[in-house]
Amino acid sequence: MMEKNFDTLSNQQIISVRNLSKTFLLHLMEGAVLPVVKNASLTVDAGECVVLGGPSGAGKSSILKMIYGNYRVDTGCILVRHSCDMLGDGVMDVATAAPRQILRLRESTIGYVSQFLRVIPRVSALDIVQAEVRDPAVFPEKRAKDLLTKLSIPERLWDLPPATFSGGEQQRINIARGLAAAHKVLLLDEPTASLDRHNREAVVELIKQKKSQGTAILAIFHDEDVRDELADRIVDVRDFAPETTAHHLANILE
Amino acid sequence: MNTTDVHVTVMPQNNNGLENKEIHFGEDRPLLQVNDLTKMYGERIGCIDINFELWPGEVLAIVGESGSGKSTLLNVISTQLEPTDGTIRYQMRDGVIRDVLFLTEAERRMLMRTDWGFVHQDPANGLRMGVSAGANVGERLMAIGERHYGRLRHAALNWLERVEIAEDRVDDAPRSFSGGMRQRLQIARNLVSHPRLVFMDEPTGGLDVSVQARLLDLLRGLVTDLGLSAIIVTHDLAVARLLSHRIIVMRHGRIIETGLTDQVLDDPREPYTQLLVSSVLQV
Repeated sequence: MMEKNFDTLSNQQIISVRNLSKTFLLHLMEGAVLPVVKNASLTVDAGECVVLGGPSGAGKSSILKMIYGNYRVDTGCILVRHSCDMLGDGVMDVATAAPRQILRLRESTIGYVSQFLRVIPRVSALDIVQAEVRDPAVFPEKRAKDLLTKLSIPERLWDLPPATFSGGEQQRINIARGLAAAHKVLLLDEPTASLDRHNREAVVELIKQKKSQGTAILAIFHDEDVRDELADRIVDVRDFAPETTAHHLANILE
Repeated sequence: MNTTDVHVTVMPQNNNGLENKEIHFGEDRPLLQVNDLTKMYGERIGCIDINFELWPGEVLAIVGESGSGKSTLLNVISTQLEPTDGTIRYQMRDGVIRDVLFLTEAERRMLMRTDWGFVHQDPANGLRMGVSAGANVGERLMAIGERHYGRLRHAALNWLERVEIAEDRVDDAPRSFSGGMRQRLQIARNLVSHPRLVFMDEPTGGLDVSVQARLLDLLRGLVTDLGLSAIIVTHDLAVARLLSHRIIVMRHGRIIETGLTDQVLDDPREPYTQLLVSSVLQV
């Protein structure tokens, strides 16, 4: 099955999402059915930044979470090209992968950056970031310090656990963490939301560097300037709307 | 299994290449395979039809409410309770896969105090409360033939340091320790023989929240640095999220849902799991 998939992932493609559908069944809400996306298909090439467009609630974040293996998939496949020897033939279908395969894929290939840092007690900002650097050619500490500096985290905070930091500082540490590794795939869920202009520009610059290094990026940016500067293509998630959501939206728009 | 299989020397901090190789060596095969495991207490179900695999370096959390069968399952897998039915296969240090239910008593005891560890919720059940902290840590090493006082002392001090117990407490009995310190000592006592699989039964239960955080962080670091496989029984989903790669949700003695930890917690599928996840207070 994997061989067949491998054949159909073209040379430049790093991510290929095909006919992806997802519905939440909320048992506690009297079994309410919440369709999220239906037959979503998209591809991302090496060095390309594809931005998911559409209103909130249209399923953009859910698509990123499915690619990361964080949400389960009802039907469809998510092919990701990787270079992890332990995962076999170079392309993995996240939708059907075993948990430990997904963990390996995250370690080796896929980075995910949201606005929110999950704080771990007693681990310093610097350690959080440098733990992500797995490239043997890079000094983790140097790479981490470089990122923290570029994202304007004052040096006096580096050795402290971020639990007590401001929301903006935590967000920037999370971005540094997400960009520290040399992942071939980056999933960005509004990393620049509510950053000040200076820091937003720093993040845009870092993402541009990733692009030029051949990273395939799938992103959600609400900030139009950021989107214009980084997006090669925009995929409108409304094209994947399940009927009920489209109907629901139509009602709101009227 | 003989004594030469066991690391008597204290392992250095963090991964060196050697340890990594050990982990990856077994990567193509599960460390533990549990098949159709059932424990009945007369007519009453302890746990039933349990099937799962644990891979080298993997941390598995078993969650569920009191009476869901999670502690029964842990006690059966760790050979402290006899199952009614099923098999528990374990890849021994020499690579041979054995059904642990068919080990001789001597083999089973050797496994329990070298390649396996068991961290009890109440440290008093896992420690010798009347003997010194150093002796508590050294006991496993002595059980596998270490008699050199200097090396035993060195190992004890090293492990006390790793679990953040001050050196000058080495001669004190755990009776004089706080709850958090006792739990950290119990962990040191288990890890000193460099086990590959550690069972933990509510390791943070009964501790103050601030003490819990310290213990969790310590456990997280040790598990990662040593490349341990672990099975952790907990009713605390935050503990599961922080420590585990994979979750098994139990109810009425059965596995009702399983998957990647963040997947089960962020996209729970079963009604009971949705209830568990939504019952956690957000802070």
